[in-house]
Amino acid sequence: MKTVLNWLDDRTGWNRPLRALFRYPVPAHAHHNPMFSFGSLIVVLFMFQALTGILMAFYYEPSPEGAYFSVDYIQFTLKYGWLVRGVHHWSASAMIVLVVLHLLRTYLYGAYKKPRELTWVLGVVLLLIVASFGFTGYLLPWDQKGYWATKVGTEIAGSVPLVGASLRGLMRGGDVMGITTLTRFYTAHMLILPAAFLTVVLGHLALMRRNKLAPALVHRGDEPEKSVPFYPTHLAIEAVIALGVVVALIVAANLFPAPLGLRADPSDSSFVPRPDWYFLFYFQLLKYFPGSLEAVATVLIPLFFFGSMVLLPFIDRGEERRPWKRPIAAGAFVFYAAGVLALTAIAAG
Amino acid sequence: MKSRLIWIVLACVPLAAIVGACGGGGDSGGGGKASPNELLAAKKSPASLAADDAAWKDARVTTIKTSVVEGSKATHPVDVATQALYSGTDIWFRFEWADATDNSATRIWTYDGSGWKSSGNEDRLSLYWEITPIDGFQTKGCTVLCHNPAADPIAKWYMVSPGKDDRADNWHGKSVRTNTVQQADDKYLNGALSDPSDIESASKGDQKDSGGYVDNKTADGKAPAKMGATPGKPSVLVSEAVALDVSKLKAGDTVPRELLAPYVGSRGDIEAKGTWANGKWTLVFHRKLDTGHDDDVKLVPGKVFPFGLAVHDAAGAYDHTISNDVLLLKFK
Repeated sequence: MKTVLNWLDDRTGWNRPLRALFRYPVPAHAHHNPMFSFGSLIVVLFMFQALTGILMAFYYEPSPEGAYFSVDYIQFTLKYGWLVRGVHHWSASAMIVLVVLHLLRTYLYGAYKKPRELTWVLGVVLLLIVASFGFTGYLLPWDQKGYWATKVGTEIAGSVPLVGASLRGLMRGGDVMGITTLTRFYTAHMLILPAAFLTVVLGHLALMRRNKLAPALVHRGDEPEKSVPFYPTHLAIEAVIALGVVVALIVAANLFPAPLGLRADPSDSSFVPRPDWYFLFYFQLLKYFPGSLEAVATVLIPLFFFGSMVLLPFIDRGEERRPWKRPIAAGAFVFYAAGVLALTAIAAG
Repeated sequence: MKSRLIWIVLACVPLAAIVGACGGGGDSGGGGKASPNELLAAKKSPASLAADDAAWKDARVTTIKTSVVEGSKATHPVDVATQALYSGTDIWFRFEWADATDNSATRIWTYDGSGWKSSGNEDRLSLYWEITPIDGFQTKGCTVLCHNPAADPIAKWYMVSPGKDDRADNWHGKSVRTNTVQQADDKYLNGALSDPSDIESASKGDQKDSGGYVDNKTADGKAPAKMGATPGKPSVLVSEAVALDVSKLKAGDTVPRELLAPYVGSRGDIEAKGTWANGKWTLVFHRKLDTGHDDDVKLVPGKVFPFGLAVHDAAGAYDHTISNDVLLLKFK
């Protein structure tokens, strides 16, 4: 084996960059803090998403006539199809949770500050990409829930002043939802978003390696912080955690099968659409801005929220990173977290 | 490392609770509130077809409201308390509804001393399921299946849509013709009318090898051909029927119009037991989730199945009431 590897290295030179990739020091505080595993878990979950997505693509038919029945076949007839789809479904939810937690950890630890501003910005972009994965994937089974939630979602996009109609047309591929809408969502879900995700993650990781992880919030003593090598010490722990996540996904897929509602009926205007759980807070928020106020919820609030997230490291430029010394940042966290949780609870209730 | 893992496990518990509470598990299995039109099948097997089997205590009761459709001769709506149980291979339904009279004498022959008169009808309950996708059925149920406005041309009734092979499964419990042999009539509907002038001919029996009910009448249709050993019974088995002997009858005696034998084949897939007592019917259906027959709906735990329900009350002007909206069978 070693001879083969040496032969390959002799001709490709792969060994050196690979060693460089894996043999970097991980600070002891990050090694011991489970919150620093969120990032690698997101990558692991993406790999599961990709694998299960490819497996389902072998059977999925992206047309309004065939989509529902192909998903129905995957879920209820294909051997282990329920498991593949279940893992895909639950890893999608887990990814949303972990991206949010990853951003929250970075926010609370003040790790977005100089020189890691761009790493943070790419993290925010990553959140949008993962949410887009959820939005585009929701339609693909072409069931009542997905169809009507997407109809509402594209209507919301259509209500954006000036560019709304074009945006809705771009998403739907026309005025009404049909084969072009499904094709576009499928293309986005299968090609555009994965490519964007990988690009952003690679950029994110490259910046993380260049600027290193932020130091510990509190460092006692004069000696420099200890570190452990990523390979094999830190990677071993990450692998164990990833294994636990895999087991959890399989258990979740078994106990709570991925849902498939009734097939979409575009003539059934009585259906009350509801988004997936991670969009529930926004679904609830929209209810408070009816009629002419709609643009407040569809444009101003998202623009303010994501705008402030992107601009955060350029506004908060102080060196202090400890959250208990940053009352405004901590207060904003409590405000947003409580708001999102409350709106989600109201919508779910 | 140990503490790190403990932290992650602890963090996962509230997260899982949040996702679960928000319906992350979706329609089938994620909990959440049930709508009035949802029949939730519990996973438990009753020991028999008895309506008082202990297993039914674990099945949630869904009251299905039926209504009198425009033009119907039915006099009043009926509420049907419905339950469902399932195992890895079988499914059971239990229905209970108020009915002041036990009508179990369908077209029974009555002897007046010299001639015969046939009268009466039977109480019934039927379910409808999609075998193939039927446009609108999953959102409108029976309404789209049979009850388009009466003024509509025949092409809009009974899924009569040339060029399409839509099929609906029909489980038809009949108090005389099938209940006597502890079966429901397993039929299907499609758009191919065997008699173009008769919309009822869209209803067809599933494949059968033998059995079923046959009309007990002479060639001229004016009298019964056979009789049972005991006068007065509303039905008699083919195997027990003997040639009519009027010398054994007196005026007012009755002879069954139907000669019965259990269905063998796909038409006999549904076991059923109906009992009328104290002003109400209780009826239990039992079938394999997957009968392996292409004229039957294949039920799969985890999946949502739309269905419709109709109740026929034979008292007074004979007609039936239908479920108001589409009903959904879900598996717990």
